[in-house]
Amino acid sequence: MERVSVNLVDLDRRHPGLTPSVAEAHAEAARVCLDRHHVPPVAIHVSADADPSEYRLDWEPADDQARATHANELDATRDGAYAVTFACMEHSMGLVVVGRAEHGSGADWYVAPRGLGFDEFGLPNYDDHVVMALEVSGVDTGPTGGRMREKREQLLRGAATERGVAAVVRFSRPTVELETVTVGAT
Amino acid sequence: MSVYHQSQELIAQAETRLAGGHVEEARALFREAGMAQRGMVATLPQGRVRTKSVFTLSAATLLFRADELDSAAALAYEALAQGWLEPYTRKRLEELVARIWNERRCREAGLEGTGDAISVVLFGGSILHRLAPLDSVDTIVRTAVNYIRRMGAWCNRKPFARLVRGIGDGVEEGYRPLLSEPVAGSYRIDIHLAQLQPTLPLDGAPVSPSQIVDGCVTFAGMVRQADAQGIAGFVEDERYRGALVRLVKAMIPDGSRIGEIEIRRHSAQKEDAVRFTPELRDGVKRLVTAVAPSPPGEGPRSQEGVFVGVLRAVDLDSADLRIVCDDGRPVPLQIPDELYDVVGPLLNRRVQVAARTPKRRRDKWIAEDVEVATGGPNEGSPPGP
Repeated sequence: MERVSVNLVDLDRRHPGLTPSVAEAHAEAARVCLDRHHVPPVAIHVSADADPSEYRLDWEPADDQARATHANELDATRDGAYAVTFACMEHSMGLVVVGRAEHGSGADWYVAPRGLGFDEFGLPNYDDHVVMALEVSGVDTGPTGGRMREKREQLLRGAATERGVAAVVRFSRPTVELETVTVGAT
Repeated sequence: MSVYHQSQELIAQAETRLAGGHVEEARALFREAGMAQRGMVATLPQGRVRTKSVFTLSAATLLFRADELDSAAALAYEALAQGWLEPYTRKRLEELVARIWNERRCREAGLEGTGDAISVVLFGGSILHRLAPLDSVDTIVRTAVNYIRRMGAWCNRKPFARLVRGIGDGVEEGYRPLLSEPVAGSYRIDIHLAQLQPTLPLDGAPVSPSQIVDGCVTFAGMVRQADAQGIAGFVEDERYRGALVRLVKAMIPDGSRIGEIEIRRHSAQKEDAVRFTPELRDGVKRLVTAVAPSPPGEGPRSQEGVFVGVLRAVDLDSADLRIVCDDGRPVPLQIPDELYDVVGPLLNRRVQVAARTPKRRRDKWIAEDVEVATGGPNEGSPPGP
């Protein structure tokens, strides 16, 4: 069976809450992180609410300039995890980015089913109950259980939406875990 | 491009400028984004409560990041005074108002805000929900503060001195540690490192609190990994290295009342913390010997011994300490400068001191290692010499 193909190109065209520069920067970070371990393409295991899939993830290897730009490993892993989450989430859960959450809002991003989550003026509509908070964590290598627990707890402690998605990305053995959480305090 | 997308673009640019160290440019961009989002709130219909709440919090936070404290506070107070805010946003805005209040008070006190912070988290049998044994917390927090101060002195490449000078002692101290209350969930203390303003460019600008916090976490991680080579490369000065590695060792729990200690940057994820558990103690003791050999040798040793008792006095000027052993004998000892940071927080605690005498002075004991004694006076503590 042929795998679904996901890529990191033009994320802003598919995710209305991403600007081109942000989408490009996060995708570039993901390419740097993936290059640490792999040559494209690679099979990536995605678990969305315990429903497993395997996608084919393709990317253009990063050049020296990109590697220098994303030399801070922690920042690169975080930003790269965003891009990989967005790319996989649109296929596995049909969710796209609505907007970036500001500091203190208890989430990293807001997501919604494609075509929803915006008002008639193109503004994110957080009053629409389909909008969910998204918490993402990235690891270069190693176990991911602790990260998932942390992200889940973070959402349970509170966010501006009634439901959220906790996501953990690992680059060495490529996996994306996605879990829907009912938010504690709204 | 909509106003919303413009604000998102401005935030992204601001983050990039901030990461590049261009603080003022980043602040200007955060300000512009905050103003744009504040304008958006005003145009939203009354019924869009959640959207208005999210954008209000976002705008106020952006103005705070722009260092527009008055504007951020005005927006937060205005929103809090109205009834429509969602409870979650209300809570976050109240926290923001508290942060603004702290920032203002710090600035009035001559500090550059509340600075960056290290979190020290304690776990174990005696740690309750936001409660912990006073003596253990006191010792660990004061040791952590000494560690931050010593790292600050090293990052600023100050010549090694026994005492990292405190506030009011002159120009060497450019920072002030501020402690948070314990945070719910375990026993977590956040130690903020605020920088004095204006900075004193004696040998170039002092390093930022953020760099010192980074140094503390990175160094602790190297100790955790027993990375002797990394430690030597990170802190080339042997005396600083000796003091810093001994400070980290002093924070490692013995398992009796505290089973684990976690050190991390306040804003970092829990998973990025450096964790120390009792089984690491022996390895770190060996590491101390490897990376920071015993302080000033003064020739061959004549005898070695271990004293166990209560540390009763430390003389700052002569570097002497006195312990009263479990059998009641008072024993004076001399401490090398590298141990000074470790000894201070142990005053009035029961300690175990490994010591030696120089060959020609059999009556003069020099401490080589000082740590909290495990067990009570009658629980098999090591005998004195």
